[in-house]
Amino acid sequence: MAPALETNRQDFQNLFSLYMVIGVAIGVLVIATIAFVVLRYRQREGRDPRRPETLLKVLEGTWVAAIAGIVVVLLVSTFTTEDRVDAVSGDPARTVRVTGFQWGWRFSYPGTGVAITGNSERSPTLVVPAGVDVRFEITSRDVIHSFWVPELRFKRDAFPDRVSDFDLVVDPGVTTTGHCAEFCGLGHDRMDFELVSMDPARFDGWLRHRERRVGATHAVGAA
Amino acid sequence: MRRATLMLGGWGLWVGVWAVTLWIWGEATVPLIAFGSAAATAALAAGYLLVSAPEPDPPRTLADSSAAPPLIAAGIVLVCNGLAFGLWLVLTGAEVAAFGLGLLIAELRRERAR
Amino acid sequence: MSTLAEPAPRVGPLEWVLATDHKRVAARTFALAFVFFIASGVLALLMRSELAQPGLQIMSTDTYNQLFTMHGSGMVYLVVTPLAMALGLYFVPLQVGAADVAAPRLASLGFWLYAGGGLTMYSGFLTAGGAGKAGWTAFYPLSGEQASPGTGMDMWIVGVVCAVAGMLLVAAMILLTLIRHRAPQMSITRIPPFCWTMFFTCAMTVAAFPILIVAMGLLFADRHLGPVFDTPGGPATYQHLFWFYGHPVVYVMFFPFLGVVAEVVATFSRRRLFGYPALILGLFAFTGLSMTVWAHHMFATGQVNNQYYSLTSTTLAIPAGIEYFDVIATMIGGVILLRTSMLFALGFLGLFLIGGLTGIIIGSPPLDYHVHDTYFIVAHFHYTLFGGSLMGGFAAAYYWLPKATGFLLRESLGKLNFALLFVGVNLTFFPMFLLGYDGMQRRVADYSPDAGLTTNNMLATIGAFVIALGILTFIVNVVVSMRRREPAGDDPWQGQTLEWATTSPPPRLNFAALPPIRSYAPLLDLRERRGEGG
Repeated sequence: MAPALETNRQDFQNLFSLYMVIGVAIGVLVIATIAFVVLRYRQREGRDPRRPETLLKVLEGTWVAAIAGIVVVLLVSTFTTEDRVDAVSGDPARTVRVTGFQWGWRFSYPGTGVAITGNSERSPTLVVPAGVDVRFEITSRDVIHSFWVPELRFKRDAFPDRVSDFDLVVDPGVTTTGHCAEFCGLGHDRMDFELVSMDPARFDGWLRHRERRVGATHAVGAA
Repeated sequence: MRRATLMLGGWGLWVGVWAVTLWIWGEATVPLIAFGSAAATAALAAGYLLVSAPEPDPPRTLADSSAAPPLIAAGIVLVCNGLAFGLWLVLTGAEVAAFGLGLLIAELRRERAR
Repeated sequence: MSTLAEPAPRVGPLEWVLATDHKRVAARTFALAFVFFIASGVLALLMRSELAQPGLQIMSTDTYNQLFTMHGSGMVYLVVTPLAMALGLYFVPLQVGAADVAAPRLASLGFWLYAGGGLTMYSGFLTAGGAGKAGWTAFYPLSGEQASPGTGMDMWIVGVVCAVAGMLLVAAMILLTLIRHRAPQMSITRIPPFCWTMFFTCAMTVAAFPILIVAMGLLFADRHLGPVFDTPGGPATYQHLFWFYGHPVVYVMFFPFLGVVAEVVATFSRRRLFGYPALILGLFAFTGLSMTVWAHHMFATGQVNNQYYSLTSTTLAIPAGIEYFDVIATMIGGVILLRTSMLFALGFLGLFLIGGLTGIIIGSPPLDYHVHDTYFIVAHFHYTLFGGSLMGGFAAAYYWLPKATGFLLRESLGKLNFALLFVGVNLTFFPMFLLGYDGMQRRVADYSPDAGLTTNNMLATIGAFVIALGILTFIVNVVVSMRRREPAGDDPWQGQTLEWATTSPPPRLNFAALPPIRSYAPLLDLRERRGEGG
């Protein structure tokens, strides 16, 4: 396992800050220009009717070139970030199968028989090992749902006709709430789940504990 | 060469370029078909305009009012609703639309007769 | 049949309803779109009232789902698109010196199809299961027979088909008018900017709207005849078809208002529009790109080529930058008059900018993974649609209503109207950016009281009522101005385009005589030659 894996949250924050800085800068520049122009040329008769056409044309060319340059910078950083975010490891530390349904989630750990199911009345808890690559295989039983964990800055849609794969690395000590983000009918607003990350050793213990209970009863709800 | 041909042709070409880009990039068929057919339609329309007669319009007769459009529209809307409510409404709607069409034909013939 | 220079005959209500005059058809479209605007706006107020506090206070989740579905689809299919088309239908023939649109009966048919479709959609509320409740996008399988049974959903589908087909017809007529019925002197480089925006708008409409009709037809077939989308890849195919319409329509709802703003800014700066060729070429590139960006609505599906759509979407910043530059540069060296419609035009520039810049953010897949389907998106498109389209719509109302009615609207009430809307829009929609970022997903009737979302939701609700007050001010303004008429005259603003060379309201066949047309601003040419200080 590679040490200090970059989490999706960090990737997101870096890219988001870049976009925000550029966006705010352009926004302020444009609004300030509009305000300046309006105040400067406000209803004063007898002014020279010409405007500096040549200067403005040069400025327009510069402006367009500047935007094109910014677009390239943004796209390059988006593409590099996305390559990291979308990458699926050949050797994930753990696989979780996520199934959405109207209106709840089922999280199962292939190869162990452990499955945690919950619905809009009682939300399930998804437990993952922290700091390692976790593979998610996501699907749906009925309509389209979307697995969203705001804290991790990530979501992926769950389609009924296919299984999508993605990898996430979760920081240690995370306890947070996830939602269904794709409108799925009456219980959409209550289709939540809890996400808990444990360090890998504790996680293995937790999983073995759950596995022992599977034989006797079918696990329902969170530990 | 008519301007409209140039414009539609240019439009088709522009969409076509993006369709080819998408195809090179490797993409599922559906968007490619939607895209490609948009480009093809524009090209076809451009071709039609190229061969169709370019002479200016004859002087137009413009009606001030016509009851045909609301009747035809009501007919079509009723037929569509009939798809949800049953055959009787489809037939009613068809009748209204047919009546509207008849009215339209009568109006047009009267106009031509002037 | 009318002859030239015949004054518009006074007409009774029946004649008004049956009229095929493009101005009357457009006026009907305006009036109906405004009625639907009020209706869909009231739905939004109800939704905001429910969301003011966590918990369900005034309605059930089922009702809420119907409300947001009808609010969204009402605003897109029945309000903003028709408003854009009505502007084109009224002013394109006037601006190009035509007596009427091409095939006026077809334009009238378009209006009636739209009216019937809208009525059908809203009538869903009267059915036992309520109106459509699968969102304005009606994604499959949620919109399928199993997840959304009932007549309300069927009526929603056929209503959308009729309304969209109607607007498609109107757009085709505007396009034909622009191509075939311009005044003889109006060569292609003398077409006014607003007409150019309508040209590209209608081109997109003709290319994209049929796809939605097909998608809705297939959806209906799937519900009643047997599986269409219920196959591997089917749900994603529906989304492709939907967004192939759904993204161009975003620009259909934007371009005409950009055109209005360009005209208003030029008129109230007493200057010729700067950079006409760049503006038109920018629009051309914009239009082409608009057909290639649709799947940026599907980044989170994991089933599209995200980088391709991210490339095309982000590239849109370039033509958008050209449009902004040209409009702002028009004011430089001008004599700016801050009349109400100019204020709305400036409001459009500021608010749409926020919508556009956040649009660049969500055009980046890794960022969209977080904010997609949240209130961040809701905030983004309300800044473009309310801050953009509707601010532009009000600019158009204050600018052109005097032309259509013959009387001026009150300036003082107009400025109050603007102030209320400007404050209301920011108060309502800015907090939504924070709500979405902080974890509030779209289309929920309720949210957790412990998620830290309460304050921003309350702010947004207060803002919504400020907006309502602003709309009310507009209605009061129209009523007051209609009661005590202040005649507008032919040309109250020193306009630059041909519609100001005829009477207010224009006669049946629009013009008694046309002035010479030597540029895209023929009336400005006249004034400059007479030395009236351009």
